[in-house]
Amino acid sequence: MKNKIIIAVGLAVITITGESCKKWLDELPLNTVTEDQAWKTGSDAEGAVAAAFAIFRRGLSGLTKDDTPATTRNGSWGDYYFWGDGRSGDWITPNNDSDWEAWFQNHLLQRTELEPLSNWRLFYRAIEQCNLAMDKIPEITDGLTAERKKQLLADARFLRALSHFYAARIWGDVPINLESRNVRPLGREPLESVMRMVVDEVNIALPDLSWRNKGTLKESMSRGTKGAALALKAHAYMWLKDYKAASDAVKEIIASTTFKLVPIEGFRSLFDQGESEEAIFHMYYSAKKGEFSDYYGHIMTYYLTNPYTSRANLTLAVPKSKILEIYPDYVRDGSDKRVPEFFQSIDFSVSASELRPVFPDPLQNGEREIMFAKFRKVKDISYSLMEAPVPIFRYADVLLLKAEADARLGNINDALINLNAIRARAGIPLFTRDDQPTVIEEVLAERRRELIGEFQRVYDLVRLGRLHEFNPDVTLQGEKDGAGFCPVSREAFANNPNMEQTYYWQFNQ
Amino acid sequence: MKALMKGVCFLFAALVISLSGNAQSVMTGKVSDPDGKPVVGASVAVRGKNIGTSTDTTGTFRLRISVGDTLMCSSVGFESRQIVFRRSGDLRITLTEENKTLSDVVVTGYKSQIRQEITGSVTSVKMDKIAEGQAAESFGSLLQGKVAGVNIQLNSGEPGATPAIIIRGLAAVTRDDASAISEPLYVIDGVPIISKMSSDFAITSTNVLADLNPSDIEDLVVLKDASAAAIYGSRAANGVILITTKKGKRGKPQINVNIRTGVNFVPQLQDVAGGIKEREQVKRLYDLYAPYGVTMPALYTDVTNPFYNNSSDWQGYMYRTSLTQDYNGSIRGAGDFGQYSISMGYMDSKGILFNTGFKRYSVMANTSLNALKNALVINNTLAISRTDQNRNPDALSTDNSTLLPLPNNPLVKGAEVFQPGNYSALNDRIRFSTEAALNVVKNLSYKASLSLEYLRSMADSLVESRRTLRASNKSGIGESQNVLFQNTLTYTPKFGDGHSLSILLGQSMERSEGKITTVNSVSPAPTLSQTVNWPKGNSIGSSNYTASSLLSYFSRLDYSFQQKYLLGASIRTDGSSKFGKANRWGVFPSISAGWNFYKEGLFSNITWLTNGKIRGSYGLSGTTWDNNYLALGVMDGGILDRYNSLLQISYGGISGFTPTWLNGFKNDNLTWVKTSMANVGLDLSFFGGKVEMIVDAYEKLTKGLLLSTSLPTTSGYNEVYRNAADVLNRGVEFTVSTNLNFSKSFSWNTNLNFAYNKNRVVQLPDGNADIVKVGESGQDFGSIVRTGVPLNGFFFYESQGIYQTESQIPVDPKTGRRLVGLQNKKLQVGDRNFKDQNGDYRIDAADRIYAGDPNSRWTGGWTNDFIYKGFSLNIVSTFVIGRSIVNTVLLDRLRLGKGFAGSSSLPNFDNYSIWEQSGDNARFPTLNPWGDVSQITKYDSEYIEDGSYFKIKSATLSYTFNKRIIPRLPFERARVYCTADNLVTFQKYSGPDAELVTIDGFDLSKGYPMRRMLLFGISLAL
Repeated sequence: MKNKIIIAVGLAVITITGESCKKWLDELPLNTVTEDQAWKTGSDAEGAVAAAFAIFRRGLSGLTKDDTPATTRNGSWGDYYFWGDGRSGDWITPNNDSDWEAWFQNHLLQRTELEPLSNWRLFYRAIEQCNLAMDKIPEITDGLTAERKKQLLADARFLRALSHFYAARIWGDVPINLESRNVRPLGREPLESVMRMVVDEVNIALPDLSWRNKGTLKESMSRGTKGAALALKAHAYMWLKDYKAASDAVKEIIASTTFKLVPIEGFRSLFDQGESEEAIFHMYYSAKKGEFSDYYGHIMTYYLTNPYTSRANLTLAVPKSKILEIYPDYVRDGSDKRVPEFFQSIDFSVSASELRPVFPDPLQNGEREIMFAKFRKVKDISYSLMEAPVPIFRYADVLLLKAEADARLGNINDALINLNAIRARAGIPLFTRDDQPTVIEEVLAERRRELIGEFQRVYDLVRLGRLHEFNPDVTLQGEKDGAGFCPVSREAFANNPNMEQTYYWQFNQ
Repeated sequence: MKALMKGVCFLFAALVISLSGNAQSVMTGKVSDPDGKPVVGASVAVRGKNIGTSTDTTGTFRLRISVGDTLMCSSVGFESRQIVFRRSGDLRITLTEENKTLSDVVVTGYKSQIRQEITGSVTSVKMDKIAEGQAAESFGSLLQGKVAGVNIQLNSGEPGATPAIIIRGLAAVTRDDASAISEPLYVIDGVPIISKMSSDFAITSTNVLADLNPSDIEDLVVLKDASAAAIYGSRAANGVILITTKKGKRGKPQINVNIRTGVNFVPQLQDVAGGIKEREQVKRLYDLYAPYGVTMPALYTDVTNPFYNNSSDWQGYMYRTSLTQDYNGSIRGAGDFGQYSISMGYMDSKGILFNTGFKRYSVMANTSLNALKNALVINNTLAISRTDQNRNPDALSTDNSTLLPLPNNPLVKGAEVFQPGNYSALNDRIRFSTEAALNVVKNLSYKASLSLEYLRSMADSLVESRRTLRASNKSGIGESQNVLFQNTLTYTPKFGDGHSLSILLGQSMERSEGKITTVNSVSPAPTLSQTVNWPKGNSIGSSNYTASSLLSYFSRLDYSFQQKYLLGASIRTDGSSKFGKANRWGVFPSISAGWNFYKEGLFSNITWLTNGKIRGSYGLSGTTWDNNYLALGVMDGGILDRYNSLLQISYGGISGFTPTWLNGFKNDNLTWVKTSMANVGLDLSFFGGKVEMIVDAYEKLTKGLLLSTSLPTTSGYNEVYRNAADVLNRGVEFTVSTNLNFSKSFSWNTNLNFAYNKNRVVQLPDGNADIVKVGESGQDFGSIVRTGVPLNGFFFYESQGIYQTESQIPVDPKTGRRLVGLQNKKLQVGDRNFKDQNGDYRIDAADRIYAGDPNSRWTGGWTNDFIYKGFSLNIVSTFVIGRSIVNTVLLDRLRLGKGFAGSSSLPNFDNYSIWEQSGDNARFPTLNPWGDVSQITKYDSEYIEDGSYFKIKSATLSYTFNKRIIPRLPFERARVYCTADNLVTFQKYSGPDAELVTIDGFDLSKGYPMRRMLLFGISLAL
């Protein structure tokens, strides 16, 4: 009997100690949070969507070693923004960088160093982050107003559409992933389906986006707005060749009067500071907030040298002959005000350890020595904090897009209005011819002049199937087979039987 | 006069007893052994009374007792006896020597069991004797070759290196690090120790088991099968090693001092063609192969060069004879109050390679206090240790060209050739545990214990580069702490005719926590010291934290009927914080049975059979993984990039969390790695224990080993972990030991054990896809994990010799093209003839095959003890049979780059058959360093060799002085000994030592050879 009591007491003790420590097993990390903790409050929601933009920005500026297992390069590989310009035929590499050389020549598989450039991992990471946000944010109530919730969800939806759009411009047919935790092996969808999805998604997001976000112009235009969404929609419609819809989308942007063409003198605040009414959507950078690029991963990295950065040699440039070809008005009478804004000649005879002077004549230097100086920073070679916001869409871009659409629709007058708005600002004579093919050609030439180095040219040419006309290493047949698009990287085939390589890249390097 | 007094006393005493009857009186008694010799220090106590004493040097004791009292008499090495005192004759107590094999009490999980009643596969090893004559950093190397099925390999001779201990076969799979092993659980005095933190939290790589001074260990029990180990649940799948430290023994205080010094000799090193021979070899290579325009460097041609005829012995310069010192002292004692044991140790083991060494400082105190008339025993243990390991920051090159001058040559003095710098690793460990055991009533006891363990690791390294004149240093500190609270209740009733039952109920809570902080910096060399002083702008620091907790309930039941029929069962359930709430608890049951058949009437006439038992068991145990938060889906707040930019952290000044894309996401399905093991065994003992035999056979299936599988890039995630791989180990173990006394003064004990294990991968993820192991930086280890074959096989090209004539090179009959060699080489005479496995007339990765198994088939050890009077000779040998290893060192040394001349020493080519011209019956192809593709290729099956070896690990010769031999000895006992360690190795392997290879069978050229040690010591008992 006594024994039984003691056993009972003993068991009770064990049970009690057990009960008292049910929480004993809830062990959570101190220096981060787990998934279950990550979606609780309004600030979690704000952070999650901002993080998606950060991933997208990183996707455009370059993969890092951490992003891909055992990649061939140690660290980030430069300037992925340059996808949109590299193969346009307008660019050279004055210091004979063989990776860029191969890129220009459309030898995208030949060098293993280029492999990361064909990897879309970060696009799908940004997409997944948006998917997660759109899944989880609806359940958050703590510290999140219904209105802000709608805005954030629309913002995420916009970015998800933008990521798909951007990837489709680079790779052509790309997988569509609109579900979080989607580990199924997704195949590539036709480019048209992707663009249609982008349009549909933008239409859903539009009502909940505002024309302006909070904060400075730079901050406001670095997140989803009605303007950004409409610009995206217009671009997507251009790919779908639905010129009416594209034109209408831009019309809405114009009607809002949120944006305007700034005078040439305002280009510094547009390109260097992003504080401009011309900006529609750009990637946010700010040294003050610690979001800057250093040696790698920014639009300015390879363009600028001493006196703006510590680099001594030009890596990427537009050769003088091309400048003369692209800007005939400047050649004729020096009238195109964009040339001195976009190009500079540096006195390379001065030692690299000193601040090199800039010649007054932008084209003073030789064929391979003219700096592309559209985006600048303060002259200082001791630090290279690059913080210019990188434009994705701007007002001049969508106006010219509308001009192209209108011209193709036969609305020559509408086309000429917008074309000439750009020409007038640049100080070149207004265009007066009105036959459709010439106007279309002129609009394209104007886009080339206006948007040079802003990662639009290659996409324009590929969209129109005309890359082979400007890049001698691309043939007509090659372009039909997909040479204008980037190959799919090896990694995308891992555990994915549905993945297919672009036809052209199955046979070419 | 004395005699008279004694007589009077005796008379008086007899009188008093006869008169007073029941009255208490002081009585004198004597305890002796069967030979009539007095037993010194035997404890004699009266049951139920708080009185007791111990015998003096003549075996005599005095005690106040009364008639009817029960005397309990015990002494180490003898069976305990209980005598009811009726008359004075009862006080002449004869103790019979303990029959060790039968009555030994073995510590098993959470309790002790009499050996005869054990139903699992359990082996115990008395460490005190082993450690007395040998100086070792950890018990690991002392345990080598002692237990069947416990494969211990010393993979490196570096002081402080961790031996690989694998019980019953490897069961670990990774994609990258090819040397992952399945580590057993170590339990010291009932407390599981932090044997290993995950690699992210390990600051030092010093052997953590070296924190425990082997001299403090009394014995060591290996729980091999599931029925024995399953009580440790989720961590027991790879076996459990229970360590019991020394405690005080009844009798007068024992002071022990053990002082030893060893000389470490440099063993056989790499074969080097020194001086002129090297020059001639280089000249020959130039003569044979140098293309037009390539001439020999002046070092080889300029006779006026002072080093033209030089022959520097680099290995001789870098390796040196060194000293090992090991001092241990202890004081131990026990009495009615309880027991105490205090010990201290200091070990300083200098490495044979320049700049390396290991030191240990250890203190351990253990006390037990008896209270409530011995019903309550309170036991406290405090152990403090520090280990200090010195290493070279990077492996030193010991194979410079012999034509280069040594650094001490006056002509080059001052020019630093070593990579200067050092690396020191410090581990401080404190273990404290307190335990209260209450004997509640008869047969029922309750025990509660609280244990705390704290480990601090510090690593400081400094590396200077003479080339860049920059130095980098790194300081790291890691802390881990472990709290364990255990409650157990044991009820051991005996009833009826020989039924005995033992029921254990227990609960334990455990929490461990780890933190690390590391900082490193790079700066111009002169400004750096070994501590980081934060030069501006280029310092990067990081810190991390991890914690896990475990809550367990367990129970074990053992039933025995007349010690004949035995039945055991255990169950443990573990809840771990590492798992999602839905999948948090794992249940680990086991069942076992035994039959002591020799007790059956059938065997009663067979006198030579002393013991015979058949055992069988089946059980389930588990393992988890290091990453505590893997299943929870840890979110990532981003990190500063290398320019300290927040680009990866915030956007527009707003920062948020993302999943950690590399390790996947919250994964509720992750669960324990489950190991099921079945075991059958036979224990036999003959001729009164003179010959013993143990045979075990087992099958161990490890299911659900954690492996990452890559996810489609479109998901956004890189990979996710799954319980994806299954590995099967099957084996047989034999142990034969003899215990022969040829005469009173000469005895011979031998223990031979050997085990056979076969390992097979059963299942792999992604449709059983082969895993070719690739390191983080992309290097191919040449190992493969493939289903149906043993783990980590060599994934090599199959060598078929050398092409002697052009006609031997196969030609594709369809195209008329010749076979194309590796890297599109046009094959020539003298090139390696690899088999074109797929017949596509092209040697490429598709032609690699599973070319060898690095897992040992047979492992074992053979120990012999010869004792003659005071002399004893102990010889320990270990062996491995049936293992393939790769002579990577040789491959690396034969593989000459285009600028080979002067870059390193060359082996003596005469010792290797190397092809030079057609007709050479050679093993190695042409060495031509200028050929378009070197023929000395990695993954060449020619370099796979037989890794079997037989090693006489140690031989100890000692002489023991004791009072029986020299009565006037000023101390109790003294033993002088001399031990030769790593005496001789018999092997087929052509490299220096077949044991010094990695788990996956590669002899890394950066290995550290195993010293040969000659140890002299004296052990005193005062």
